[in-house]
Amino acid sequence: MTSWLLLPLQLALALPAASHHVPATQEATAQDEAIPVGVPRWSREVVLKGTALKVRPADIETPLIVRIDSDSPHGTDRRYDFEYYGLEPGTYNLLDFLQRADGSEMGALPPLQIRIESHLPSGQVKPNPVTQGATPDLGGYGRTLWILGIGWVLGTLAWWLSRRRTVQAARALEDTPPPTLAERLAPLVERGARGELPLEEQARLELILIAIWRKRLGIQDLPAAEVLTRLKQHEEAGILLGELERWLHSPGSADGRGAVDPAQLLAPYRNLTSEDWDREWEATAPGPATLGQDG
Amino acid sequence: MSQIPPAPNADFSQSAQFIQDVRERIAKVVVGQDVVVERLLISLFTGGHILLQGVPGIAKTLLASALSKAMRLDFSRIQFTIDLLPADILGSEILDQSTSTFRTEKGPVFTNLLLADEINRAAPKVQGALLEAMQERKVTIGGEPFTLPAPFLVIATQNPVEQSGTFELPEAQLDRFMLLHRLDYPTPDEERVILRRNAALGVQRRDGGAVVATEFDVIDDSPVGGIEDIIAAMEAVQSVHVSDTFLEHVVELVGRTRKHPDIELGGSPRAGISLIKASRARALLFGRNYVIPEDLFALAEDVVLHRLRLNYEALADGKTTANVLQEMLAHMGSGDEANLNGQVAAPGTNGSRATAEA
Repeated sequence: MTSWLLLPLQLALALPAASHHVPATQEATAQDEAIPVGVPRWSREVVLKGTALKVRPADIETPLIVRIDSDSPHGTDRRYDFEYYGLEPGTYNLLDFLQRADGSEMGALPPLQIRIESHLPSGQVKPNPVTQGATPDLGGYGRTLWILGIGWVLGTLAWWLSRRRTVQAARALEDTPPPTLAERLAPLVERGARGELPLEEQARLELILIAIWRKRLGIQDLPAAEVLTRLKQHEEAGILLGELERWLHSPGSADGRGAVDPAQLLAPYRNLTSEDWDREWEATAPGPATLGQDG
Repeated sequence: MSQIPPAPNADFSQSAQFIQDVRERIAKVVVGQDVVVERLLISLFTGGHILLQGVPGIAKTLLASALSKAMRLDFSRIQFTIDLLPADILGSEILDQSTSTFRTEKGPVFTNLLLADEINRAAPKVQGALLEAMQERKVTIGGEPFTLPAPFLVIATQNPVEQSGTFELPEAQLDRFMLLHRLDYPTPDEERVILRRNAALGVQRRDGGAVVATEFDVIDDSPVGGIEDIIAAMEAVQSVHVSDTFLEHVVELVGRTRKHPDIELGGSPRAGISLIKASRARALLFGRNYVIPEDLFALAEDVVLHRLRLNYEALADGKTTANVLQEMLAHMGSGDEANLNGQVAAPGTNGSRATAEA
């Protein structure tokens, strides 16, 4: 009777002791499970006979990586916690990756089988090919860079062409001799003689004639206030300027009374080339020293 | 474009005789200075004012005094100094203690001919007060406006050499002067006459004593004309014909002062107006009833030069406004900046006018 009453208590005390003495049974459960490649697993409280174990040095070809998390005495045996993960599919004995720390033989130990399996199809050693997606749009930045680049190239080209054209035009102008005073005067005289000279060009005609006579008499360096006084002292220039003043400035000319005939006034200045002017000036122009004798 | 219409009924011969008489009267006491007399008459007949720039001792005061007496004009002289106040020129209100009321004491500006000697020695507010009176021809004393006598001519002077302690007239105030004439020393011949005349002045007995006579003592007090003659001359100036061609010359010259690369401040429209006014008066002085380019060329320096200001680059190059103005006058009519004394630039190279001619 007493033994029946104490049976649950005896079972309660006996079960932990039983589990403590058969750790290999627990590991057998873990060994049955297929472990995926690269996924770590642990085997704890594994009691093995003999002296302390350590992990064999691994090389690049090793299919299983093993690590001893803890190692403690267990009576005359040793108790270990192992961590491991497989690199190649297959069934391995964990003990094959261990060795005695003191270099002695492993002896007869119960195998600790581990099965590593791969989820990839057989023979596939590379990852699945990545599906090629659409190239991400660089957006406005890339487009802007292109536009700026093209614009820069075109702008530089346009600037270069424009500058080239300007330089060529300037060179052409440099190569072309500027019109002489005679050439400049000729159209004004022609139109003036016909009475077709507009107001602005009448003013220019008068000033160009003054400039011509100024050069002809060699008095370019005189102050402007003295120039006309000196010109009026000259026989020919004085008459010309007097007539010009009557034609262009006097009130009689404006209302038609006593008007000067431009054709007659400008006749000596028609159909003269630059060479004629120069020759005539050389022949008739007095030097500055003799100018005072003209008046 | 319509020409400037002449004023009717102008008596040129009467004005010409009057002008001749005035010049002869002034020549009796002032040797040479014909151009200055001409400029003074131009200013008087056109209602402008004149600034004479020159060293002391070249008969500026004597000239103004002789001019006023020859025309029977009131004459005042103010020596500008640093401590001068606007009221010293314009006048002020004074408390009359006998009546306990304020009465207005008019200043020396109330005259026909005012000689403002060394105007640049006074403070700017005094210069400003005078220049305002010059332009508006009236002053306000104690809140009451007073009109200045007519004609009213200011002859201001400044010494170009001694600049210490002076206040330079700014361009805006210089622009109020129609003419700025630069006085020169007399020629050796003129100087000999001056010395001989001065040596013959002698001593003048006065109030029981005697003083050494000066040129002021020999000015003939009897006038050769009066206000009516001046008015006739002013009307004659207005009747002088100005052609469109002459206007073109003026427009071109003033325009060139604004576009010239060496000039920072060019001629104002007032410069062009003054050129026309002064040219008309000069034409009258020379017995013409129309202006000609000679008037423009002769007056350009006095009318335009003081209205120009060179830029720093030109000053650094040692250029002067006179040089630049002469250069512009020499190039007038070219339509460009090329030198007309030799070859001119090819059409189209400098400005549209050259292109139009080609």
